[in-house]
Amino acid sequence: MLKYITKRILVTIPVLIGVVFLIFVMLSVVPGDPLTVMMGEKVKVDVIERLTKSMHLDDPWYVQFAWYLWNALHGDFGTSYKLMRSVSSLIANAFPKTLMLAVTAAALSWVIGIPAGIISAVKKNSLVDHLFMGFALCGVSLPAFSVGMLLQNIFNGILPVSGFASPMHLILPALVLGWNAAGTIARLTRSSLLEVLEDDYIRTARAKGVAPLSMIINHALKNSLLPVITMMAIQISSLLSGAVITETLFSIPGIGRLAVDAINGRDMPLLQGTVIFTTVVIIGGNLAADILYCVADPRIRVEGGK
Amino acid sequence: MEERLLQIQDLHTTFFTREGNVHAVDGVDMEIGAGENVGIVGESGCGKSMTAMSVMGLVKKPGKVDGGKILFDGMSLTDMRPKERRKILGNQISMIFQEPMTSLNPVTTVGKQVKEALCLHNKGLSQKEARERVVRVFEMVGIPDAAKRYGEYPHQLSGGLRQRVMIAMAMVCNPKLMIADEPTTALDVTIEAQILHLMKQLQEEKGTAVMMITHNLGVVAQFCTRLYVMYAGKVMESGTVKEIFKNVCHPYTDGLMKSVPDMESKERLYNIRGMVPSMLHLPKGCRFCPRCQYSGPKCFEEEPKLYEVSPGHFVRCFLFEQQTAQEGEA
Repeated sequence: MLKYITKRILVTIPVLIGVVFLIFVMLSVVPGDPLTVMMGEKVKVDVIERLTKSMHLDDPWYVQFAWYLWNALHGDFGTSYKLMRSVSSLIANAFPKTLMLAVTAAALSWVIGIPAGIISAVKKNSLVDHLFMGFALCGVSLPAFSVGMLLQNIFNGILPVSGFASPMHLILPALVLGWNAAGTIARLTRSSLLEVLEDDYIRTARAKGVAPLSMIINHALKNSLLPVITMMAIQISSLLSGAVITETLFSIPGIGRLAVDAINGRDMPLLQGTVIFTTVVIIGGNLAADILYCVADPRIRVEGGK
Repeated sequence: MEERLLQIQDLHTTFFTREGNVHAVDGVDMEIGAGENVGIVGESGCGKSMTAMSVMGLVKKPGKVDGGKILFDGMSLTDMRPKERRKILGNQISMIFQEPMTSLNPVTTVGKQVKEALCLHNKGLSQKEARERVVRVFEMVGIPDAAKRYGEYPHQLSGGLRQRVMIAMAMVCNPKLMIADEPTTALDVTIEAQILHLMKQLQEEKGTAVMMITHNLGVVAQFCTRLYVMYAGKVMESGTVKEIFKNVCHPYTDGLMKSVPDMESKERLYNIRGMVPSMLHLPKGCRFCPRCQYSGPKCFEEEPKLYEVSPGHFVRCFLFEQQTAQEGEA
């Protein structure tokens, strides 16, 4: 098990370097001179020369990449052109807000999605099932901006609709993100549970005289939640890397907003930083999913140990 | 026959499908005495497994037991509330399934799965006692290194070992009746012999009655004392194994017997011509007549009853109508 996890972590290193390289190359070929973005049109020549030197702008791209990688390893992702603050501190500032939103939304989606999925599976094709699945389908298919604006309209005056000042401000954006995630989870839980309930070992359990409720909880649920765990890990990592639309819509100064601002301002170091951060979070989420899966499913545990 | 343990009277199990109603079990009468080994034989889809599932109350939707009675030890299973019935399942009646590879829960240790069956029906048992008893049962069914195997997962065991675990699960509460639904079909021949030997040994030690569902007449000859031959949801022939093997009456049973490969013979293996009829479009009259080489005009019109050709030996075929003075359902 430990061997499996170490192997999985080691595999992520080349992936990470590759991603950093790709982002670096992509952003280097984007038109636009960083100095113009930083200083505007009218700058003295000696200032330009000094900055060009200190930022290694006249070096070949691979030297620049090596510098970037070297600095990144030391936690320095450069300085934002626009905000004149280090990218790491900007991200460190924005992340707690995104984290709070993500955790609230994820918790909401689990608390609602999993039980709804279970009830729908148990009461398959009943009115409750159709109702839950209808809600789930809406959550999955309605785009965040439409749901967000709808909620803002409905709850205007009742709940805060913009900004990030109190826990109350979290409710609406968490609902937007949570509804979507809950929809996916409910649908997946339902289909997975229905599939598991057809399995032979459920019949064995029934033949043992296990009561229906205990059968679902003790026998079916653990098996059916295996794919759900993977889905939850993917969801939370995508939530953690910043919900661009929702954060923009509700003016939450999180990672998503930071990335949008960076794009709008052609703030390359900041954009690079946020994209790399997102990558790390997603790789971490997948890693967590693999490890969780490994804990939950003994079959994988053994294969990995070999 | 000794004391009657299980009595199935005119059992009907029907599947209500969109294409029509499928009578998977269509008026089956059956009896199993205490400690008796009874075989149920027939081709795939003849209703033998469904008969067992009906006894267990495991018939899945859209199927339903919609007629007849199942009496176990004097109690009517069919009239029982689900909660009462669950107290009997796994406790007094247990079942071994055909697929040992998939019949165990992959994410729970085998020991725990067997222990659950034990604890469910013996509420007072402490965890430690239960564990010890499961390990003892594991030893009894010949699982080597039983204490270590207790904590292993199904995928770590071979097919033969898994079937032994299933037998342990079925035996752990010392049931009065064990239903074995083709317990050795998925296993290779050497393991099959071992498992059958084990079941026979346990059956003799504990006095458990066994309903052995199989399509293998060799298993029946080795294991059972009485035999029911089923075809398309009905019992075609029943009697003691000795009697039926000595005096095969029904053309279908005869066909099954001839279909057993003979190592000495150089001839091509016999097979019953035709196919099992679709349960949606059963022939009128005798269900076997389209495939029967002796069928006459009457067979296509009327359904034969069970005729007693000798004491305890019943045959559902018009060929034996005149031979028997006594008529009527068993």
